[in-house]
Amino acid sequence: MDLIYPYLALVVAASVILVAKFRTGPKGFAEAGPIAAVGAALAFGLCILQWGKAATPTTGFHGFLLIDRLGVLASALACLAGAVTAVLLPHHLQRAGKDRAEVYVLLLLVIAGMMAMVQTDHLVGAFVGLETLSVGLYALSAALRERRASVEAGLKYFLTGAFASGILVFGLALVYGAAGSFSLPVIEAKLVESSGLALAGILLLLVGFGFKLSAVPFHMWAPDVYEGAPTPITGFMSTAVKVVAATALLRVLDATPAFSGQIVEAVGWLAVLTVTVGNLSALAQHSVKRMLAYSSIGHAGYLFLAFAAFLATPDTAGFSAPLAAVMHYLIAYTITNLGAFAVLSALETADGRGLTFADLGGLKSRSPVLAFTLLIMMLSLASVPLTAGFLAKWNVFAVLVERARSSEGPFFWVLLVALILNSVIGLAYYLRVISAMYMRPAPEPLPATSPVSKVVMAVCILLVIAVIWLGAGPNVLGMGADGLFSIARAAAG
Amino acid sequence: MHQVFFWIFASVAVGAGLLAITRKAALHCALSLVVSFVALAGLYFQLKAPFPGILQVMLYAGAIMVLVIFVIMFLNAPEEDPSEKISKPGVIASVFLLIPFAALLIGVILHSNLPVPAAVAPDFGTVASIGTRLFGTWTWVFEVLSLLLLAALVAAVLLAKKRLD
Amino acid sequence: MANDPKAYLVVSVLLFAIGMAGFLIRKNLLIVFLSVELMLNAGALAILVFARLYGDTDGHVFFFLILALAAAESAVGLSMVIALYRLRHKLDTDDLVELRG
Repeated sequence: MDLIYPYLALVVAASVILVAKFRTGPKGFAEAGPIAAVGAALAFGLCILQWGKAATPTTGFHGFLLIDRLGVLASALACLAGAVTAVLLPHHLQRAGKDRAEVYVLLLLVIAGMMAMVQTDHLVGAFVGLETLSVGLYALSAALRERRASVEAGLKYFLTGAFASGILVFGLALVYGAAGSFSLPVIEAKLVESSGLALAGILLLLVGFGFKLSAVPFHMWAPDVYEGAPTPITGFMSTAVKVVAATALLRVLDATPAFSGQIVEAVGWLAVLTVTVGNLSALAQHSVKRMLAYSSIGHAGYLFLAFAAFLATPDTAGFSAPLAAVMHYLIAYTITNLGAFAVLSALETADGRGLTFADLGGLKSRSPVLAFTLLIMMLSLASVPLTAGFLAKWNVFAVLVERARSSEGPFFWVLLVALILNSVIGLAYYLRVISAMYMRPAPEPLPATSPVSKVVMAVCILLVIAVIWLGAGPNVLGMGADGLFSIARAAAG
Repeated sequence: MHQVFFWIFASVAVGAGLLAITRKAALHCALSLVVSFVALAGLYFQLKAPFPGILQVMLYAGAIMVLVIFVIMFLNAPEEDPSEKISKPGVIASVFLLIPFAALLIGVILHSNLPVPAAVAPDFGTVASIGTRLFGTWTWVFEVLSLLLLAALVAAVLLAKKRLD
Repeated sequence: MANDPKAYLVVSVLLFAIGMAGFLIRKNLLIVFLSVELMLNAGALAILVFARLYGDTDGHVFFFLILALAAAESAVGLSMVIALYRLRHKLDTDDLVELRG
């Protein structure tokens, strides 16, 4: 029973909002946002409480629910992203003149689906969780349904998402055909030697997950959806979805060691394509939100680089450095990108027009707190030292170097070069945001932004503190980089 | 006898599936798809899966497709028929990527070592066996599925309700 | 099972490929959506074939879940189509141009 406390917190909060909304009727229900934020924060806390016990994995519900550190960490990140989103949403929706309680119900159900996706080692359990989060997010992208951009984003996401689901189902069918079970431990035991059927199935699963993680060439939907969806939802999609999809993909790939040799190159080239296309396209953007959309594609590419190293590392019992690097990257990226989207959401105008670089001009004097937050987040995304992003990318770099030195052939050196070159490209467009805020004059006339609530400001400041604290090295408060890496390491161990 | 039925059902399923993506009007496509789904249900019966076969007819060909057809009839704008357009890059991708992909997959299947069909229990594929499994060991998945259906319900309200606040 | 199971699987691959082709070729939103339904059914057929091969009821349960998923997806997808239609009175993927892709 205590295994599902985080789920209960989310579902109870969702039910309270639903019932209260029925009772208030068409008047609107202003408390929905705070209730959702509290529910998600509570679930986050309950996940943290599970961390200690999760050191020894426990199962429940006939082995379908698996509480281990990897799942608990990914769930906690999803809850954190959800809580921040629930804080940002009311400001965003009210500015658009909408106050929709249904949005918060969907947000909470999506988080529960995300947790179900990562807290299982059964393929169907993970698949149903994935569909729960997808169905919720299709609707959340289209939540501002009076705006064409939002509805189009929802439809595009829906069509590509349904297509990806179709591919995933077929991939699951083939894996099931090869192994005779949907349970990952059984699959790992059965698939000791390579078979064409299983390989085809795993590659189809990789394509399906590639859509969800917006890996190139399955990324076509991502920029449009990220740009059209309500900004806080974009922040949520670009962080939480990546966390849980990457975690679930890790579990699948981890259970099929017999195929690692064949898949590692596919993942490697996917990674190189994804970082390169993501970062180069980000350079050419005028809209800040769209730039961040491409940047998040680029970051998915860095994740895939670490995946390649993970697959190429011989399966040893216990701790795996590449797995720890993936989780570390996810933690740093989630916190950083949430901060960036919090600022973006606060700065947008009521007409829903996308923010351009020119709109950021003179932000340092107009709103020093938001400007400083965006500054820190951009530095962290560019992985400048003393930020969380730096240590995370350093870890990916380190595992790639390790792989390149111990493996034959130039493959991992190619991946390493892709990582370095793209980090330089990334620096260029992240610095463009900073120079727009700090060097350029304010635009004439000033964009009509609405005042930002204190809660949003507080969230921004907290995220800045987290990014600096997690990045500043082990000496700050006794638990900085080391602490973060040890959490990731514990999850990987 | 089984052979004959297999070939009838398989060719109807594939043929109607082809019609479903090539007919011009959306309504014709949907109706072809219904035919394809019913033929698939026939295949399910041959696979000793009577309950999935019944669900396929009642829920898939019945409920879900009726919903789709309802929306098509509800929205069909008579003045212009956009369904006549096809995507050129899509055609090129289909010819150069999809046909080799399908051929490869068929090759993999033909060369794979599938197990000999196991002897099955007499209640295989019945409501009782599936229900026992679903509400026995698969409870957790069923619970998550309930969240999925609730999310779909709320999503439909959010997107299609006439007047929102 | 009366036939070689591989014959059933070839049917399922053909349906899957037809569904993908429909997704790539057609532009009418509703037909694109129908193509995805065909892909789901192809997967379901393959799963039932393997369930029969292994004599395993889990495959049948997964079929049930796919059905529920298809229902949920069509509810959300169709309400989104209605929302778009209210704004535009047209149903064509070419019209999804507000966002430059």
